[in-house]
Amino acid sequence: MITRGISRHPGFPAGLALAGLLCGCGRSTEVSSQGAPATLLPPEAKANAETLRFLEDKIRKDPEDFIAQNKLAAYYLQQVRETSDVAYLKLAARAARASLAALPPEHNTGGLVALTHVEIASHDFASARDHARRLIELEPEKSYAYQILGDALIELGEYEDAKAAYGKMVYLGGLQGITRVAIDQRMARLAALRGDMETSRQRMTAALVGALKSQVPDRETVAWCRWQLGETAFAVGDYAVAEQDYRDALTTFPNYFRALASLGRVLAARGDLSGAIAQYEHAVRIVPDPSFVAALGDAYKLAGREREAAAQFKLVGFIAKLDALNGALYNRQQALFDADHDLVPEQAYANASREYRIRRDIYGADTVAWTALKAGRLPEAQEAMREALRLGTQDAKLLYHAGMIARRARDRAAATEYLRRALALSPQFDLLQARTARQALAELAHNTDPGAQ
Amino acid sequence: MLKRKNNKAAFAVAALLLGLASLYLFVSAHALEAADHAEATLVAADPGADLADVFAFLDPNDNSRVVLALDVEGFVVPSELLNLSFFAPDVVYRFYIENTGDAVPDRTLDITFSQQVSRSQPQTATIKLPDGSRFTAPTTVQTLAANPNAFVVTTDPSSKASFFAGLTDDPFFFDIVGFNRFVSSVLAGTPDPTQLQRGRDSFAGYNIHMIAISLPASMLRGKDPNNRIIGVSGATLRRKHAHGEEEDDREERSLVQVDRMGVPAVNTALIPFPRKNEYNAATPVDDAKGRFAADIVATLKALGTNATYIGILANVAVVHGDYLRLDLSKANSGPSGGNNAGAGFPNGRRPADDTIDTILTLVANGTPLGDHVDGNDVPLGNSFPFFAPPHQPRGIGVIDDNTRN
Repeated sequence: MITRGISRHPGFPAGLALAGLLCGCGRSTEVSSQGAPATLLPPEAKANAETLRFLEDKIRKDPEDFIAQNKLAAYYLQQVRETSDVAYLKLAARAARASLAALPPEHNTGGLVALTHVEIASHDFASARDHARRLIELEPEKSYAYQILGDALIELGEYEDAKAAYGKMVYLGGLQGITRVAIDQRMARLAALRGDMETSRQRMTAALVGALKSQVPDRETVAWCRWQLGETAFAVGDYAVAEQDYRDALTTFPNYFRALASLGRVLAARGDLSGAIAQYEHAVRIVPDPSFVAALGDAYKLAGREREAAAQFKLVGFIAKLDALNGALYNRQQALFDADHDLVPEQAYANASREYRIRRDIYGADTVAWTALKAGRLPEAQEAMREALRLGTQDAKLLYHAGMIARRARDRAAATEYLRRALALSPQFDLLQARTARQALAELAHNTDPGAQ
Repeated sequence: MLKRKNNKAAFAVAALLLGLASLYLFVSAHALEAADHAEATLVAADPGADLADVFAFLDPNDNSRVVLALDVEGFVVPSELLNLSFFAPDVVYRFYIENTGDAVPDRTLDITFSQQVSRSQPQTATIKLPDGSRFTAPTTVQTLAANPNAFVVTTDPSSKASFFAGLTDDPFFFDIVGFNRFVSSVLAGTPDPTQLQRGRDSFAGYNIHMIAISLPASMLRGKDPNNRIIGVSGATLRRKHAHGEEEDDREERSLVQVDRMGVPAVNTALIPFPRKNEYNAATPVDDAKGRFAADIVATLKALGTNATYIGILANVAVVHGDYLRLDLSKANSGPSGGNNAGAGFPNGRRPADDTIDTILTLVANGTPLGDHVDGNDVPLGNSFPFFAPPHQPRGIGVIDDNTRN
């Protein structure tokens, strides 16, 4: 687990290096977002396994031991974070509920915190928001309750309230190094949403530096920051920087699932299709996330391997149906996948709209817009697209969707402008969709645009 | 990790359990997908500054010496010890000493720690004594081996003060769940003492970060030779940190009190939950001014405590501020830091004192009442620092139910 403690040597993971774990893998031949070379951070797998066994023994003997239940929930949630394994999410939910059954929230805020984290991880953001508000009633001067509230609100698209909640988090917290890391991460996200990518990069770099300064830097936190920096660089077309950030994340935390897939995407963007395929194949073996599987399918398709592509596309729908929780977690990805591949347009639109009734964030609006377009519902697509662009987010996919919707509406000037901006921002933002964007832009330029008919 | 002090408060309102709960700490609940949403790191508490208990007692082997101890960041699972077994270098751990019987602290004893440079090397503690003199001492390093490292005790030749800091068994013992259910039954108007029959020690098997110092009683005595009673409370402070600012300023003006602890049960147990942060940031002078008296009285009345016993409890922790009051002339003897009758809590606090039963009995207007957890899960020590060695990780397949005593 993580602890605080600030090193005097920015960017240098003190605890680690001294434990003799410096691997010296200064592979940076290109510029990465963070100056110091990435180093391997040690997994705590053995200690974690023993700790889980200890706590599981405790609750076997006394299921009402809410302290052990709360600690267990925290460990399971960390496993979810590191592996994306839904089985751990279910275990975390069970521990949180057992804790609250032993003692209600008024006597057990830790149990309520655990439940709220489970709700966020399960995409039940409305419940998480309500429970975060309950936590604030119980502990009005604790920074963390506002952090959870802000995290739920931002997913629900309540951006002003989220910003206010984070403001309270900053006001009440900030004494511990790790709290400042958490704050920087959130400020980076807010900046990216409003299209200020430079501020976003700066705040995420600050988060990374803070995480590395921790007495015992947590590998997942460090890898997460590096991966996020890669995402920011990718969004603005800095593919070399993004690749290095993803590689740094994987140096810190080998096989970190988020970075594995992102590395595949950036390899493809840089023209290394066979490298991208190998990378996606590896990512899917580690975590069969539907978006990774879909990207692998796209890469196969691009390479002319149609049969393998079709097999991956079939798998995408299968994963979401494996169980109800998967369905909830991957609903948005499924809808976008269907729209990207011109599959079941009405069903995709219905799925996107159903989720958007509760979760009204800009990416939810974008999913509604994109699926509506594919379902031939132009007015709905236009209205949702306005919502999706309301913060001024600089995201090539959003701009691409806006361009394609304008094109269908025969607004040639707007379509051209959106598509140009999308491709200028990140010319290879998606394996297949970037090609479509380029093709549409060319057709608009030559006034031979069949899509506008 | 958790606000365990709350628990200790045992009898008090359910609120107390609340504290415990915050055990949750710093975890992360990242979502499952990369594209959709990927949450950032979550921070729930300030474990390094979370005070659990304060102890103050005469050394039973030499009554001319006083032992002061405080512990933070409890509920450490033995296999967690390599990750957790160090003291936050940006926290000031403080004992307040009160000599005149009012609520105003007269001197302080501060302990700070260097950075941990490696898990296999000790941190260096700097101890600033009430007379302003300083000495340094190493912490006790932890190991995942079957047997713990021996406690490292350092004695400063000039002040004769001895110091220990490291992981120990958590000396507190108490059934939080049973206690809370009993309290809930009382508040619901259907008192159910059978809830106290579970007899499970919620702290058994866990470790905690302990700081202990033994020093000549003369160093703590006030100017008035007739005043033989000292007040002791603990506090943790962090430097206030504006965003992005470097933090090497340990000057007093930049310190923010994160937590404090005196008499077990008062600090938080008797204070309604929404006011706990306010209480933690307040001072014993605020206690004496009655800032929290109404809260405490309301809690006790709800529990059925009569005016006489409310008066006794208020005198312990409110009227003169929330300090452990230790009579330096009351002889302490016996094993485990002393166990002779009449010399323990609420006269100071010894590691073996069953503070929860004492408080429950006071709350119950003198009728003996207890939680059926009557001692620590492992034997305490018989010499400084008097606490038990840390629990070590168990071998595969070893299930050890220490939770019944």
